[in-house]
Amino acid sequence: MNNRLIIAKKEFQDIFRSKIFSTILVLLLTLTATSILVSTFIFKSQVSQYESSLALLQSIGKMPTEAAPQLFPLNLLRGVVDYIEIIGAIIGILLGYLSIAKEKKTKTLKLLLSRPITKMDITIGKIMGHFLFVSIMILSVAAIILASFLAIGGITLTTVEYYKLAIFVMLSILYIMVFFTLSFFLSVQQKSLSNALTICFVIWLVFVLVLPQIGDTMDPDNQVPGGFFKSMGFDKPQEEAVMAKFSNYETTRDHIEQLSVTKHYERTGFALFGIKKTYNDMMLLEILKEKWFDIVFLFTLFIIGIFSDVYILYKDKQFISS
Amino acid sequence: MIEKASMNEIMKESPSKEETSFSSFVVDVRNLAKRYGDFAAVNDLTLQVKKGEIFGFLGHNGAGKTTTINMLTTLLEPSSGSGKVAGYDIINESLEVRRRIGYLPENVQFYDSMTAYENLEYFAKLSGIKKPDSQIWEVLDFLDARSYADKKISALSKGMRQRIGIAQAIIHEPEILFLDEPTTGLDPFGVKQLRDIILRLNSQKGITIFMNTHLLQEVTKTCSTIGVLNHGSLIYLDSLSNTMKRFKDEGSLEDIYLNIENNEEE
Ligand SMILES: Nc1ncnc2c1ncn2[C@@H]1O[C@H](COP(=O)(O)OP(=O)(O)OP(=O)(O)O)[C@@H](O)[C@H]1O
Ligand SMILES: [Mg+2]
Repeated sequence: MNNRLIIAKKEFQDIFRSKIFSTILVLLLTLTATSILVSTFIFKSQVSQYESSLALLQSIGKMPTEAAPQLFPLNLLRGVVDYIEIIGAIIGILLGYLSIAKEKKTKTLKLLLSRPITKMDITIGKIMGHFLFVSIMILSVAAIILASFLAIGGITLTTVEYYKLAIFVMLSILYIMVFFTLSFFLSVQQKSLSNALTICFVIWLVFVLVLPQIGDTMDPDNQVPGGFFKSMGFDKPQEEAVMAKFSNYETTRDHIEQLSVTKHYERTGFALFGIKKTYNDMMLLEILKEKWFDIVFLFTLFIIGIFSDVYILYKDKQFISS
Repeated sequence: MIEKASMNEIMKESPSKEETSFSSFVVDVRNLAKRYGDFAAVNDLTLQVKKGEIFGFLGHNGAGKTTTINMLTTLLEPSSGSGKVAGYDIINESLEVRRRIGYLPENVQFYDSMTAYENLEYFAKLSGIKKPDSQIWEVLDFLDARSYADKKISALSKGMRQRIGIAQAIIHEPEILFLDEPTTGLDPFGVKQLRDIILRLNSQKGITIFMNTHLLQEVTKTCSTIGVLNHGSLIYLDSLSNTMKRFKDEGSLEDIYLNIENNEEE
């Protein structure tokens, strides 16, 4: 255990000292704050629009038909989920790649392996160090979220909302670490490091951008701004009746989305933050019950990732003889 | 051709006559081999190195020297054969072996975001030294490298870095030190300094040295025993003094060394 802690500590220090990561961290934090500010601005303009139409209605003696827009602060976090989806995955990939590439290039792995430690110590130590770094990164994002809420009008969260944010933090860490373990695996296994990096980014492209995008494009409700059914004046039961006719199509779409880690992360994130409005009225436990598969999926991938990384370094011979 | 024949004879008789005192061998390997597919990088290597020696392992590029060191330091598993280093089995007791060896690979570069001191601290801790501070300074003083401690590795010259390389390899007071082409890239002055360091490590700290090189002059100036590896096979093994006696009349040793290579190539 002690060896793993020593390795973890060094890995952690190493990242903190590198310029790339302080830059990416600042970028992620800035994007978080900006996206919250923008969403707040949009929300405020909706409110004032509502108020002016309300005033108009009342002046001609009518009652409003729509309820006032309601602010669930977590609704403002859609952009944050999107950014972590994309940038978080890149960070995971880069961290995994660098943690192997540097040791390969400088041959320091030989120095490590001539010590009385096991290859498993090295893999686990590296994963622990990066887990710590990623945790601190995501916790800073959470801190920025809370700070932005306070700054834009003294929004404070309820206890349940804190829980939701905490779950989101854990999921985000898992999500990034899945990409870390994947890229670690490929970087050990590939003879050429540039190959490894290329494969990682193809995977990133497919899982983070293409698959979710296919899913979205195939979703008829996404084809019209504001939603196809809403603009056609369909209510929910009508919409479901129409969609039932397309159930095969829907299942296919769902399966394509399910292939992507990113979608599992996004679905849970959107549910927690009530980006899909239906979730705003649900209890946290109900949300978790509905999203348990996505959460278990992420967690399982991370565990598989750890085992694969331990295995691949154990098996690897290329590393040493070259 | 004549030289080659005589070399083979010498090789045959050398290892057997020292088999009496088994425990005094720091390196003791039998029929060690490493194969990559059909190609044998190291072939049927049987070799003993006595405690306190400076062993020079000579061979041209691609002869299998690094592969041999990788097997002796437990980094690479042999395809066949067996061996002990510092009294422990290199296959089944690799952690025990690693506790007792120091290793400086060729062209190693360290973690360049960290200072020399931090690099040494890291490796010392991984060697099981809980509070390495005093050892680090002691080793740095021994190598006359105290002033490098707070420098980033990236700011050190090749020669300075090589000293830090030695430092990480001896910080845990190993019984045997493996050096892979330690003089690569050093200027003549650096080579001379490194030679002095190796001799002092051997005489003052009693560390056995196992050194790879393709330069004959390095061996004759530093080593007490010479082994020559050619295409994965050990073709010569004897003490330096015997070697000097044996080849006194046959021109310079260098001619012979070059000759071995040429004969094999043809
Ligand atoms: N992983 C590998 N796969 C296939 N062949 C290998 C591998 N590693 C080494 N070899 C081959 O084994 C032979 C011995 O290599 P080795 O590095 O041990 O030689 P060396 O004596 O250290 O040479 P040099 O003086 O160039 O360092 C070389 O021909 C090399 O190409
Ligand atoms: Mg070599």
